[in-house]
Amino acid sequence: MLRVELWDILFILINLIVLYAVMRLVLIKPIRKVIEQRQAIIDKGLRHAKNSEENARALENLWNEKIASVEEKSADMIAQARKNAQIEYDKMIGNANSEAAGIVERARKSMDLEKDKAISELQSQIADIAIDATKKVLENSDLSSIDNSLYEKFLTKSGDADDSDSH
Amino acid sequence: MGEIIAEELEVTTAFTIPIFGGIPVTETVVVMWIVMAVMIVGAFLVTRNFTVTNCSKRQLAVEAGYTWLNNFFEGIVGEHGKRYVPYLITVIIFIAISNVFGVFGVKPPTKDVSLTAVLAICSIVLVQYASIRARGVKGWIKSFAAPTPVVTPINILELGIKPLSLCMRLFGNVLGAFVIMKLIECVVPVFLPAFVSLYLDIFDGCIQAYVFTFLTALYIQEAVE
Repeated sequence: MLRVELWDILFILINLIVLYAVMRLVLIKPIRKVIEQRQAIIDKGLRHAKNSEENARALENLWNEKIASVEEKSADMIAQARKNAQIEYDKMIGNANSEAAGIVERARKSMDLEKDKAISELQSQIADIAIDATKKVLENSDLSSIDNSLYEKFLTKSGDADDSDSH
Repeated sequence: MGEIIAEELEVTTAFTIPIFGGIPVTETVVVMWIVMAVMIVGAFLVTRNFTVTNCSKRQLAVEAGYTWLNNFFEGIVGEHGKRYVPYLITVIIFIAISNVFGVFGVKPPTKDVSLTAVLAICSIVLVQYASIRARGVKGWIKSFAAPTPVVTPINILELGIKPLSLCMRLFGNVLGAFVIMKLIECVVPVFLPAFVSLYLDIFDGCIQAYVFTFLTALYIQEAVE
């Protein structure tokens, strides 16, 4: 039962070494190989995901910087446009004011001319009326004694009176 | 009954190789060859057509079993003892199958003290190799005086005690299970042996394989830490 044979020990030792070598080759190596390959794929995927994430973060930062720069630029552009618009507005208002002043001035001159013209026409009409009235008076009465000097005097007086009213 | 059991316990010579005056080959060696053949063919069959993706259920089961054993032993031996895990996996499978072989009516090879002795010697040689590799020859020699020089004789004695305890524990358990099974078969030859065999051959056989490799892994961990 407890007999130990030298050959037995030797055979068992050789068997055990052979078994370990073969099992390592047939069982452990293929399983490890597959697990390592799968791990490599997983690691590669994780690395790829990490790189993608880093790239995405870099792009996000770049876009944020660009957006900030664009916003700043657009604010500057809006401010400049407002400034330009204000200048243009002021210029247009100035032009309109000066044009309006010119129109008013021209209208006033035109009115003055019309007034002068109306006064002249009125004077000539009054003179005609006076002549007609004088004629009628002379025709209906004996006023032959009245000489032409009186007549002229009347005319001069009525003309002076009209001129003083117009000024 | 006693004669039958004594006959069953005797390790007989299966055949003799007719060289050097006749080399005896015991039945233990022959059964070990059968166990080896079963293991190698089984390993070859289960690892066939392994793929990285779209794995079969067989592959997943094999990988799960291997990963469980690998993690179990790596957890004991630690990072520095990782290289010895394949040996431990091989030995645990071998001892488990050898112990379970009794179910098929074959004398389990672990019933022979020669086999358990070789397993124990291999374990202790591996432990000392791991210690020398991890600490160097000087560190290995110094380790006998650790933690204090007073325990040096005990540490030297452990070189023999550890493999002896490994060897005798496995041998004693398998032998005990074998003797009990034979006694039960003699008393109640039908029905009962089937149930007792489930415990003694399969459960106890696997437990002994676990204990043997667990202790070897612990010794390796002590050696490489």
